[in-house]
Amino acid sequence: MTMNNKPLFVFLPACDEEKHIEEMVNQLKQLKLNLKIYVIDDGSRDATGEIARKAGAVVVRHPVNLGQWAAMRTAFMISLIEDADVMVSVDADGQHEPSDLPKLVEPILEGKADIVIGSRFLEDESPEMPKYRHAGIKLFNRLVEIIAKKRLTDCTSGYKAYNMSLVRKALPNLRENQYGALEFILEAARQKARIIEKSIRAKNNAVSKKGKIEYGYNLLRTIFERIIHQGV
Amino acid sequence: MVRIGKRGGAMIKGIQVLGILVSAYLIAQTIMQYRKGNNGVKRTVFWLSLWSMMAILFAFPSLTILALPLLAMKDAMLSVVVVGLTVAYVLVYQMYQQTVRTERRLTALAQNIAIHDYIKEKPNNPEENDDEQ
Repeated sequence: MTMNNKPLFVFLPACDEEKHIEEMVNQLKQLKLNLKIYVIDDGSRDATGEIARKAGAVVVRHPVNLGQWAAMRTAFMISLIEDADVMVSVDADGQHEPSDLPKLVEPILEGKADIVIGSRFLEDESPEMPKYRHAGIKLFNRLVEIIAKKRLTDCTSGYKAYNMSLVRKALPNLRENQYGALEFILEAARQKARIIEKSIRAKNNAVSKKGKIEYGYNLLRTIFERIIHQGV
Repeated sequence: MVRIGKRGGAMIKGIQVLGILVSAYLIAQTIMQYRKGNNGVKRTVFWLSLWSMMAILFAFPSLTILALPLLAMKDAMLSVVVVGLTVAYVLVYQMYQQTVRTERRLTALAQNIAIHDYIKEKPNNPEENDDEQ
């Protein structure tokens, strides 16, 4: 499963994820696909980078913690340097199933999509997740629908596959360091990208930062700043 | 009209002199920062205008009365507070913008370091091969 025999570039932005990173890298390796696995170590204070390197991933280390979406932008830059055609982002906290990767990549390889979002709610209306968090995601889905005229069920998902031609166009317009999930979707919609969702399985991650009031506030701030700077 | 005694008048004069001296010091500092190359022309002009205006208002406080009709206010003291708060808001906003710009530069710097290290450590890196030769 590759495009022009090029490997698929898989990125795991990680900060202090030494508990999960080895398992994630190993599970990805077991897929028996032509993958190039990168861990963007976002200034971890634990052994995330070393463990990931020993597990067989290429580790790119930020000297200080910049934020999840700064790590994603670094991932985009590396994909462009490596002349990738398709890249995938996976959360390093162990909530995503690496075995769902092929179905995210397939629509891009078939030329049917520019970005594929792994949705936890496409088939499962009540997933293993606190109700307030699910309600918050529904609210942001609605906001994205209003602003970008695109109906989604899981706009904050970190499990995504990207067509690099979209990334090349979107990257100069991305600003947010930490809460960039919605910024990218709004930018993709502005670029008239084909956005689709595929159902994925997810484990509820008890230590996830997502779901806190601060996270919701910052997503709203990101949307507001995006409207101020870009109009959409 | 509030009557000000001799001691009150002397105190106000003292405040005026102090205000002018502080303004002069800030003007000198701004010019020095420009000469050292720490500030650009735009920023220097902005700060010089602000400190000069402050010096003029300390030298001629009655000028604030001229601004009252413009601000639609009756009280000179209130107009000084409103103008002061507005200027403070502009300064805070300018500092916020500066902080955002600095954060963006630092982010780019950290990302460049990370990417530079990655390219350097790549197995078939020509830069590394050159070093070996």
